[in-house]
Amino acid sequence: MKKTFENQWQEAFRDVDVPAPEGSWPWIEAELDKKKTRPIWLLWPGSNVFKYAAACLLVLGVGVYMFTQNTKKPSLAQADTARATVEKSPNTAELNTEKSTTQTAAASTENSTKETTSKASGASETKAEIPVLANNDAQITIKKIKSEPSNQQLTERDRKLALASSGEKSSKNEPKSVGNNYETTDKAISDERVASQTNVKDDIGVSSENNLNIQKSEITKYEVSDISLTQPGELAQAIITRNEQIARLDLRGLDSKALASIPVKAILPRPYLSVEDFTKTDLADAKKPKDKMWFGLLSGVSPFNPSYSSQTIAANFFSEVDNSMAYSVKSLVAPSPSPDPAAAKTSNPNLPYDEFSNGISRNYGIEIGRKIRKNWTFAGILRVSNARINQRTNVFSVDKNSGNVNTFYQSSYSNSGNTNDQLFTAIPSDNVQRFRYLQVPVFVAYQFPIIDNLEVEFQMGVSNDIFLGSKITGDIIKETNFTNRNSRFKMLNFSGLGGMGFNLKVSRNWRAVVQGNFQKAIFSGTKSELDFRPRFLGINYGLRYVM
Amino acid sequence: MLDDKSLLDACLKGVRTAQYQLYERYSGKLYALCLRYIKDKDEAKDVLQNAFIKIYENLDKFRQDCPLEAWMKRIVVNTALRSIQNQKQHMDLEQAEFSVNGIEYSENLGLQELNHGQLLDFIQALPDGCRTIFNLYAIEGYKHQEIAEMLQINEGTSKSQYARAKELLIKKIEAEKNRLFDIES
Repeated sequence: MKKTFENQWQEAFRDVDVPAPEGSWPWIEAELDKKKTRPIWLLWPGSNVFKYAAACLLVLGVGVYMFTQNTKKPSLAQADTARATVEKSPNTAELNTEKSTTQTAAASTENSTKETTSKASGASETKAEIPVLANNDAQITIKKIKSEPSNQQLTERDRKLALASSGEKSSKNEPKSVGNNYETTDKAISDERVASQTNVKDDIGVSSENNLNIQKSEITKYEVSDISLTQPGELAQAIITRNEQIARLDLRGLDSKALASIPVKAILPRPYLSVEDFTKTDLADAKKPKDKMWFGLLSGVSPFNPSYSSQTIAANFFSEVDNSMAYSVKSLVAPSPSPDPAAAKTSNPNLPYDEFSNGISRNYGIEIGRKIRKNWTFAGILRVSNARINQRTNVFSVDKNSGNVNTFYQSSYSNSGNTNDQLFTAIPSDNVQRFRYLQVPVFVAYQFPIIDNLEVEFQMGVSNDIFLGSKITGDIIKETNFTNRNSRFKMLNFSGLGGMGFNLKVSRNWRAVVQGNFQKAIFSGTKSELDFRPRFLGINYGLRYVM
Repeated sequence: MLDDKSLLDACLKGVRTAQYQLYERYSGKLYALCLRYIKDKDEAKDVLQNAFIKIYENLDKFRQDCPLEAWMKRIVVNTALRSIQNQKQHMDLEQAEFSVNGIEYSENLGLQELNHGQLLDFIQALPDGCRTIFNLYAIEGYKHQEIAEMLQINEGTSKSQYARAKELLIKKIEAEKNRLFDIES
């Protein structure tokens, strides 16, 4: 048997083995190790809070990702998708068909050409279905061009010989290629993008050349003659290429189950089968918005720490109390000093004290961002932040003129203007002070993907915090509203901020955002000697619309 | 020695020794494949390494509906093509039409009389574009239409370049056979 030019070369290079280059395995091993031990950014130095916040974010992010993955993926049985109906076999299928008058069909002499048009509706039992993923508007027309009744089995060699003998002629009658159909139905997809899909897909392609156990009677040639779709990337495309005997289906967008459900026993001459994951990714890429800009709705919650300078307060507090009150502070100290201040307070409720504890802050606002480089973005947020702190004190002041009772802290550091106060102690009172700021953070962020659909984002920036007001309430004191006019709170404040978070792609344009943020005032927020540097450490969450 | 299936299972579990064994078993064949596409040995080595990383990372996607070796070769070929495309080596594809109709050559090329090194030299001496298309068509068995899609070129260009490669190779082989004949006689 004569061997073709190509066969001789194939034989010459079959099982050729050359010594592998030195140093390859260590490099590969190092790369594998590197990918195995890729840091997960949980090792933030210093603060445990960051670790916990980051860990919570990670768990939350993965949970949201898995949740959306599970709910997003329709089952084949339940998918409310377009279905392309393809006749199952010329001998068994009962078809509602009509003669085709296409030129391609006319070239086929043995059998009539039939056309079946499928729409997004159920199909009868006599029709097999190709489920098409997530495209309700898809419509495919698939023509059956030719079938050859025979029980002869084909081998790979047969196929190649057949191709070699009929290649030139058959290629002239070839239907349009996948690329052509694809491109003509969606101009938005560039040639490069389509080519890129092909290449990536091929990377994991699996050849089925060795499994060509095909009954000729079942070999049918199909041509997709009409594809109308609104989202072409998600539509299965059944395309036939090559010659009269070999059917090839290029099933972009179909997953393994869908592939398995295809009733046409067609030879897949090239490794276009194992494409599901990469193809999905590529198709997603093809549809991906430019990602240049986004708008977001964000909200957040965090512990709020006023970061008062306790030393200043304590010194002033005791000095004031000692000078103003009718008796000496020293005399109030418990006769048998206890190392535990709490015990001392309990034992002598008249001992003056003034304590602040962390409250909580909630914010909500809008965000706008823009990509400035490949992984770098610049963004700004306009948000209102409401915060509260809790205060417990037993030292108060009474305005001799008005009779209003305020806390020592309030009269000394918050109220503006001259006061004529007299300090006194009373039973401890729990007070709440609320703050409202309009915050305008601007920041740069570095984003990079860690898994499909999930990005990590690191942020750093500054925030302009505008004091909108404050309000203090308590059992004893007079409820007071502060503005920057009647108080010593500064109107303009500046904070530094940083954080990290996760951006989860939940749909084509929407991203779910979860971030851990830290923000602290750079300068004191009051015009008094009180050092007031609010500090926020919490989680922001929201949605971004990417364009 | 583990068979491919057992080796694959062990690799999927991340067993390093199994990964090494897979490398040992196939690196020679795959490197030979790389050298057919990439002339420069260092670049061929890079392609081989990158291909192996892809192989290890995507082993779970191998459906075992074809031999493991065929699947691995496919990845290596695609990695090599990407490397070529990145280096713009395919840009030298000329549109000139070539045909081997006028060239006479014996149906038996006598490749078995030449060793692999000589044949590899012949292939590597081909212009880059020609070489890629020759490898894809003649040895890997792709069709011109598929090659055109893969390389983003016209089908006609693929055919033309293949004809050119064929012509150049036939000339080289004939010359080499004549040289050997002269030496023997």
